[in-house]
Amino acid sequence: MKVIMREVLLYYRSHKVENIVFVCQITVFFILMGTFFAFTGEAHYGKSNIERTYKDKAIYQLIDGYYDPDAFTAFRSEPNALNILKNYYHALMNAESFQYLAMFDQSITINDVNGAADSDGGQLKEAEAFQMNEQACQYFELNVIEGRAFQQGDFDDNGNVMPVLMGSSYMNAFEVGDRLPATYYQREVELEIIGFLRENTMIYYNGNYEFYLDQYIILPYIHYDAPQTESDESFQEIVYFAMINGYISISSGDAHTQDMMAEMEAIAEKTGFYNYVFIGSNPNLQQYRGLINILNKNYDLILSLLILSFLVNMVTLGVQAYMMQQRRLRMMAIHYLNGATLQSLMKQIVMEVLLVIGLAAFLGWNVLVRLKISNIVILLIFLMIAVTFMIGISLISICKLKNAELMLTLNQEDDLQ
Amino acid sequence: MRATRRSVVFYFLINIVLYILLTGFLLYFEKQTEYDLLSNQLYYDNILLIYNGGNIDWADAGDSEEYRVYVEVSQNCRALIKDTSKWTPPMLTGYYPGEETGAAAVIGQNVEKSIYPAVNGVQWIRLIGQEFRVTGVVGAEYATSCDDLILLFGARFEESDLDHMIYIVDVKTQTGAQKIARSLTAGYPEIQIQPGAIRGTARLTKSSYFYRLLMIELLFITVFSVYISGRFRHEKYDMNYKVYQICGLPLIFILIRAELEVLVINSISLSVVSGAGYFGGLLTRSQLENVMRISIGITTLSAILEAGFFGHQLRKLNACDRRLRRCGAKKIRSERL
Repeated sequence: MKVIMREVLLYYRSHKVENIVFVCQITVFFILMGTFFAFTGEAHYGKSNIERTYKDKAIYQLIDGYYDPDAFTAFRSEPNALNILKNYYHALMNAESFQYLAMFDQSITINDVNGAADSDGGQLKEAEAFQMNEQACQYFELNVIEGRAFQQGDFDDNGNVMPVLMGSSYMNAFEVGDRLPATYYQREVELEIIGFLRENTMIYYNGNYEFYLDQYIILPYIHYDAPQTESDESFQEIVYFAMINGYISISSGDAHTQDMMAEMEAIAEKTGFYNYVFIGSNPNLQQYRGLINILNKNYDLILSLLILSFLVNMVTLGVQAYMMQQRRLRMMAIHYLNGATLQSLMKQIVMEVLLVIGLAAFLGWNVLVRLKISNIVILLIFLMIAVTFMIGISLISICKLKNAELMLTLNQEDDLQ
Repeated sequence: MRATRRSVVFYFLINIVLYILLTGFLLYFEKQTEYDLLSNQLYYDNILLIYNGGNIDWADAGDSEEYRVYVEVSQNCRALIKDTSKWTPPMLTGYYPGEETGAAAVIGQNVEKSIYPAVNGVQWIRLIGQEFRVTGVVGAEYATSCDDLILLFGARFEESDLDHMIYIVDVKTQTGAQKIARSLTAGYPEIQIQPGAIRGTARLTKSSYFYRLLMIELLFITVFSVYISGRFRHEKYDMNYKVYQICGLPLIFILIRAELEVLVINSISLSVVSGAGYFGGLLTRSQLENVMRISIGITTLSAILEAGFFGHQLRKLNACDRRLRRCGAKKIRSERL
């Protein structure tokens, strides 16, 4: 083994430049493949995300009909207004024929002591916030890159502490576990950061099927217990009024729409909240189809470029590896002549290939980690390519060695003796 | 000689493979840009939203960057007021007015269905109290995000209206957008500039970032491939060079011969790939020109490397001569003949 290692090192020393360039080339090949897989992954994520959210779905916007301030005040002055709102909201949440997604972009004021949220200075800042109920979070499958997503308990009333998710643009400004004093519908609360959303997380909001949450602080819609004070009651009324303005998602088709409408009427009847209106209904989501078309085509395009790039680079690298080994055969035959066994020569070939490809794969992986585009799938693909490459080159070289003219002549001479 | 011929075949093969890869990337880039535009309402990745910009004199805003300035009429409608680029969007039918004067419009497929029928072959659309002649339909054969879009040209606005409208500056590069934002803020302190939201494939797939990364990696892989294949081709000729030198051929002749071979192999590889691409309907004339430009780069690099390998070989031979002389050899190489 020692002799083999010495031989390998001698070979590398005598062909420094070629070997360094070859290692660099394979390293770049690995990086290129890693980049492609990451790119394909992003394209696939975007495509599947949109498809999952919008395919064969119809989304209707549901609002309360209290546009007139007098009517609104009159409703709020009713003794059981809050109960009606709560019952109506819970009935929407428990509906069988549709999913109710309560969402609203009510901004909040945060007391940013460190000035991390904005570079303008000053402590009180108006921040873009987005409120969502549990069903909406589940429907859009909010993924986090750090921390954790919302859990069922986060939607319960935990006093003044409110768990929040931050959009990806806040990644460098805050950390998971940070607490921020804030004002939410004129109530002092403490926002506890539980996680950061994945970059380009998007949802359907206000007719926009590509509403990105990168700049937003995501607050859960809390299910409040019975109010203790009058100010509590007033606060809860405002929050529940916001919560009953949201979106209804059903499967596409007239039958589903009729079922949904019938259930809405039943809910109104049961809870006593009749003043609801559907606006901006978007049952066909035309624009979504435009985007998904392009995303599909884009995905196919990237995939075909990945396949082309992989095949073409394999040809280039294969030809070059073959030429490099071809040159070595004469030297190997001389070793054979000097008494080296075929097995030790084969080991030497395998060792050479292993070192070059192993080093290239290691360097390539490190670059991908630094570029922040590495993941476990890419690592597995890396290993697969590296092993295939190693086996391929080694087998070809060994076959070549066995069938080399000089080796055959030497074997014949041995047989004659 | 057999080995030499085989090495030329390998060199030729690697060149073909490299040209295929580079042409593939070129085609990909054009397609990706088209998808990014179609899914982002025909905007590039760098949009500036300018509020309170009624006083901006766009004629003085400078033409050094490639950009377009629009006034936002509604979510799906905007009016072009300045264009310093020679940009045309993907057109389904008709043409993009560009420099043409007069009130004109290009529309998305869905809008086409809702406007009134053509009179004497000309379609008109009425917006912001003005009539616009429809010159074409933007988009693609399939449904896209810009099917509801309306782009107006030569629209007239009251000065009082412009005070409340949002200006949208669409810039090709990020540095260009920063430069424009800086110059506008310096000239008009009252304006507020916000970066516009990017949508579609450019955002969802991070195409710009990945494309830049892939291009850099491709550049490296091309340089390494050219180096290694050039080196092997050169090595195969090692003995031939020695024979030529012994025969007394001038060095410059040997070098020119090697360079000519590089040129011929590159030209043949290029002709094969670009010919197949062009006549197979994959490449347009402008894309073909780009492939030519790339091939000039590769050929130049190969030629420089060849000269480098040759120089290296010469140094080795001279060092060998010196060693022989030191050992007392009176006649070396050609002298021996």
